[in-house]
Amino acid sequence: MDNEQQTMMSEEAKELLEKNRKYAEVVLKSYSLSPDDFDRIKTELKLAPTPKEVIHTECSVKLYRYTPKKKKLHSVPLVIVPSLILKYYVMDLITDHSIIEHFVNQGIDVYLVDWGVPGDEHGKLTFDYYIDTFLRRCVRKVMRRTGSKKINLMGQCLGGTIASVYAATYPEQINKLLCLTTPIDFEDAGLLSLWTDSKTFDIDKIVESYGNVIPADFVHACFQYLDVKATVQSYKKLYNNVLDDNFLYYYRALDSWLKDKIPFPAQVFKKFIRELYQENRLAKGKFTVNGKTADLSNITCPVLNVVSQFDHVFPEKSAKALNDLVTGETEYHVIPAGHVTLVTIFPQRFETFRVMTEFILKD
Amino acid sequence: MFFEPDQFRKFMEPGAFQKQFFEQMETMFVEKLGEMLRDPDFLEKISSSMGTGLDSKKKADAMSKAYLEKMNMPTRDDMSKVLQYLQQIEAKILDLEEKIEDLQDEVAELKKKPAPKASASSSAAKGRAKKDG
Repeated sequence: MDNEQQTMMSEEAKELLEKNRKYAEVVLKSYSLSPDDFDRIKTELKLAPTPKEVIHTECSVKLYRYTPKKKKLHSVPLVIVPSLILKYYVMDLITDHSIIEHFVNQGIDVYLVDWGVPGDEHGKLTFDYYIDTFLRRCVRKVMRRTGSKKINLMGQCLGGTIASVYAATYPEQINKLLCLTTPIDFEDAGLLSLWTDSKTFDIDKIVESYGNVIPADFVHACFQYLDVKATVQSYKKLYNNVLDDNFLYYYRALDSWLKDKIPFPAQVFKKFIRELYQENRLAKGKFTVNGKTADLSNITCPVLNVVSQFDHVFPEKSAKALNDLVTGETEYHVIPAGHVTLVTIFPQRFETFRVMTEFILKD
Repeated sequence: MFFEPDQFRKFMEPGAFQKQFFEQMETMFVEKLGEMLRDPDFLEKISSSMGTGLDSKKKADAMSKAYLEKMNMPTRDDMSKVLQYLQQIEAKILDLEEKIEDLQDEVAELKKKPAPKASASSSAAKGRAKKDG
């Protein structure tokens, strides 16, 4: 080897060492995050950047109204229902990676139900209470505030299931229903169906042992194993791009959101596992809310069903079932992305934003 | 010579060994873990060990509860009861607020309606009252 080759090799070796050092630093930092760190990280990374105000609170639940940017707003307000599994701000992750920011820029009057962090006071609160009291009250607040007789209701992930159940229970309040990666048919719904099978998953024992809330670590333990290949790939991608500051900023934002886990209210978890996963009642038209049957065929309004092609949490099939169960006209879109990445990565997120905005704004 | 010059260069390339090692690990890990996570026997074993863990947790919780009660200190259950009670009070206040709002709406609706014209019988009654006065 001549001198030039040797210098080149030592440069490459230096870069490799730096890459290894930085990668180890990022991964270790990510795994050592404690719940107290997230407020600091949210400020440091400017997460959930779209300006908003709290217009109603009940228990841990907060109803936000996003500050409009346009003087003339779309006549029907939009209420967003996030999942109960993770925090709401994946829909408002960082500037330019936020579906909420996009809606606000298009003149949509956006409201969001933040479920908050459930504590021991949620011990006796049921799935029915979440839908028939927490969500009903938030919708009522929005309707009274805006004077609108109907709202557009959007749900993401399990929030979409909640929104669909709400729309089936109170169809007269809904102008349009928008579902984003929403599980409806839980039979054969991927690995989670297999893992929550009543033969191996004793829901009564779990709820009895944990009491009021199911700890976040218990609920989230399974997610990284749903698609092992994707989990390994994400670390590989981090390793390959760890010296790129832009990539690292985006990675840290998404990773912080993923690690900012919340516990699950025990009674809600029980109904969710038993009646949805183990008995598949919603798809069978047997799911009830305070004694009222939430029959999805009651949904006569237009429905937008956006699913991700490579969803490892809920397979496309589970979400697609909604199309056949509602009686309203359905628009169906499959985005070539993952469960979360359909609202975060380029260019797929812009397709998701476009499809949803057009559906809301069209007459 | 054990290596051709090109092979030697490739072997000496920084990170080549590391890359190869991780690629092979990845393939093996993904394949084996993927199989394991779908294996009913493995899931049953996980379920049984989870059950044992939950039983131990229950016992530990009962012990700490008994200990705190003996020390005359509030247990987690006591705290939960207080918090749940507060939640119920808040819900009742919000229910009342809704009822007041509904009543206000009804009053506003009534105010919007034109006042009913005085009927013939009520004018006659008014006339009689004047005379009596």
